[in-house]
Amino acid sequence: MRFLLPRCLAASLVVASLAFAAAPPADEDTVIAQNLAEMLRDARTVVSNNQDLINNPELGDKHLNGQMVPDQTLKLYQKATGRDPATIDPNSRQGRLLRAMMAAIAAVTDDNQATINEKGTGFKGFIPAVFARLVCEDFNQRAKAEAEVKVTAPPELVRNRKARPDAWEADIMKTKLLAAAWPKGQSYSAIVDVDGHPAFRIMVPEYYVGSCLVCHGSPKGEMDVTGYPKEGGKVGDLGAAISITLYH
Amino acid sequence: MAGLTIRMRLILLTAAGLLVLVATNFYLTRALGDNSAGMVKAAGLLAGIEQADSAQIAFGEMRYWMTDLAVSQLTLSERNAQAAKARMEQHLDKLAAWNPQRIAAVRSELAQYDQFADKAVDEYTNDRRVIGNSLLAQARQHSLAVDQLLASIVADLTDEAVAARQKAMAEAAAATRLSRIVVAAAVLVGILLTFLLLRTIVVPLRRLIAAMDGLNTGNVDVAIPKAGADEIGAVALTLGRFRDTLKEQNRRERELRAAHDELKATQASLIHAEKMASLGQLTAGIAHEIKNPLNFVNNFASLSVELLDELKQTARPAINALGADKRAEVDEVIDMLTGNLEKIAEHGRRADGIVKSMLAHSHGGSGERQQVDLNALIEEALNLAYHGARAQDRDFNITFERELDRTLAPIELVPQDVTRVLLNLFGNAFYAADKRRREAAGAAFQPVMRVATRDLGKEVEIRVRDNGTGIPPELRDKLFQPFFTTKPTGEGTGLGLSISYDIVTQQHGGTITVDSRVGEFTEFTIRLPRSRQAATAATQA
Repeated sequence: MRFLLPRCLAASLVVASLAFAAAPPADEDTVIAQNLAEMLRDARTVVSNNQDLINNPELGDKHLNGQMVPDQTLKLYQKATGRDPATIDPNSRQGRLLRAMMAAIAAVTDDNQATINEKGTGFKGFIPAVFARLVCEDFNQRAKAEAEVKVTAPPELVRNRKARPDAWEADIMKTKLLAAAWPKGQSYSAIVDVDGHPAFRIMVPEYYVGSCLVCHGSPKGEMDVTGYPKEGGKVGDLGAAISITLYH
Repeated sequence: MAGLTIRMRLILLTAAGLLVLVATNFYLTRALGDNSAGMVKAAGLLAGIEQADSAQIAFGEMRYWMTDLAVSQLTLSERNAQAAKARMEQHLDKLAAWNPQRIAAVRSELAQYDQFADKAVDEYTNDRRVIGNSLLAQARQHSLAVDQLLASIVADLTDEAVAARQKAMAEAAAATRLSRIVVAAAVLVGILLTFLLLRTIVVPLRRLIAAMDGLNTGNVDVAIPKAGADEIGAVALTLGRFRDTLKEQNRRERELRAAHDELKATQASLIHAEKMASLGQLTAGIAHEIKNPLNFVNNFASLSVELLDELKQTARPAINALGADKRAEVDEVIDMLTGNLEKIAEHGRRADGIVKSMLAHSHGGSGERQQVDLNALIEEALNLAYHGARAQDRDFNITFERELDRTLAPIELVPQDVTRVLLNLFGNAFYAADKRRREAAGAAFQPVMRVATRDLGKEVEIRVRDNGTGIPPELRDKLFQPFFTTKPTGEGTGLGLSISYDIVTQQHGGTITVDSRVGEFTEFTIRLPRSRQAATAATQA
């Protein structure tokens, strides 16, 4: 979701983190997935927190580089989980994947230094959603055989076609996450067949908060700051979902 | 047209007008229908152009959004591209009715473009830009083909629309021109027919009005228009009947007036006759009573004259013995007595003549009717009257003018009485003419009396006209009354015209009238019926 507002995602991350803290994963897949989701959200939060800095047209080098963003992400991650990824065995699946996520965050930040530091341009389109998608794409390259992360959304809310849900994701959002009886903030996970192999898949819901509605709220159809029509969403509506697949 | 009723003429005229109207309307409706069909076709072609243009626009939008999608990856672009494609499909659906084959060709190219563009977008989405570019280049080839096909369709549709519009306009112009000609012709024919129709109504109506005016002024001989088969003919027929009725009424009125006049005249005659009868009886009584003493007066006057002669003879010796003076005085007294007695005898005779006239008046004519040559009777009376007048006045003279109808057949009448009438009329004429001569005193006035007779068939007319003093109108009604006279006392008894009136009207059943103008003339006209029956009937009436 390239244009999903950073503050929205940051808030969503907080909600998910609380859910994570309150309900520890029952198995390793769930734990790994929740940690990857948390780290991704934290990275987005960093970008969101520095959005005004990024959009400053008068400032050149903003020192928001591949070192600083991961550092701030780790701080947020540690604050949310109480754990330091560096302490996790780098050979373990969780260790590899969390490091891959960290590397992706650093790489995407470095790859977009020219954009971030461009003078004379205010809104540069480098927003948390875009950053998260790029991180997911980079991560997916790095963890190709083991895991895949994607930020998707109900089809009518998807703005970038790269974030389009596949059939399973669309079905889960429709039948589970969007169901009236589905507990708010609760993820859905299952072992499913992917290309003839069993895989763990989880959908972590993300809900609109007030700041999200600046671009995704009402009136529906009105152009937001990016030139995209608003979706007419309300606080608490399901705005997106982090889809994580762990291959066995 | 005159053989038809006005109603039928109006119906025919209206029907003709309506027929032209309906025919024109029918033609115009058909022409308008054709024109409308042409315009509909043109409009359909224009709509086709619009659809083709819209398809081009939609395809341009689709191409734009697909390109934008390839770059931005935004689902909005994808949705916009799909919407544009859907619009284009709709436009193509509408265009397919025009030329399915060509639209199928467009759809084929569109499908290939769509296929390559979708693949290109997918490749871009998967970050395989090189392949994406290649696919997009192939898609571009098909998009150009779509553009060309749509452009050619627009061009062909435009040509067809222009042709259809021009054809429709030309047909409309032709229909308008023809309808104007028909309407103008219909108006002209309508005016002509209306004029002719009005003429068939107005002309007879004017004749009828003229006839009515004529009848209104009493001219029953006015020409009534010939009665045709129409309503005016019916009016003319009625008017003719009315004229006949009017004629009959006039005739009856004339008869009534004549009867009335006759009645009045008869009434006057009766009144006069009654008056005369009463007067006659009175006169007869008076005359009878006077005649006896008058006979004594006359007889004793004559006897006294004779006795006085005997006295004179007897007393002659004694008278001669007297002295001359005494003898002259006695002779003078005897002569005076003789003169007085002669005057008594003379005036007694005159009084006896008057009494005889009165008795004759009261007794009426008593002579026998006989066939008489009226002209000869007139000549005889004229001779008697003239010599009588000359005996009384040696200076009297007058010119006679005779217009006697020589073919006049003898007529049955009482000659003595008619002679008396003629003598009365001639005497009056002489008196009036001579009076005027005397009053003219030196002027070159010549008294003239004209006598004329005329055979009227059942009647004979006698006219006696003089150029005397004339009779004032106020005196004419009194002329025939007994004892009425304008002559000085002693010159007329006032019985002449009254006796004449009785002889003509009562005895002979005729009429006597007078016409006069003061200072110019007086003319008496007598008409006597030939037959005794007519005379008797007139007398009894």
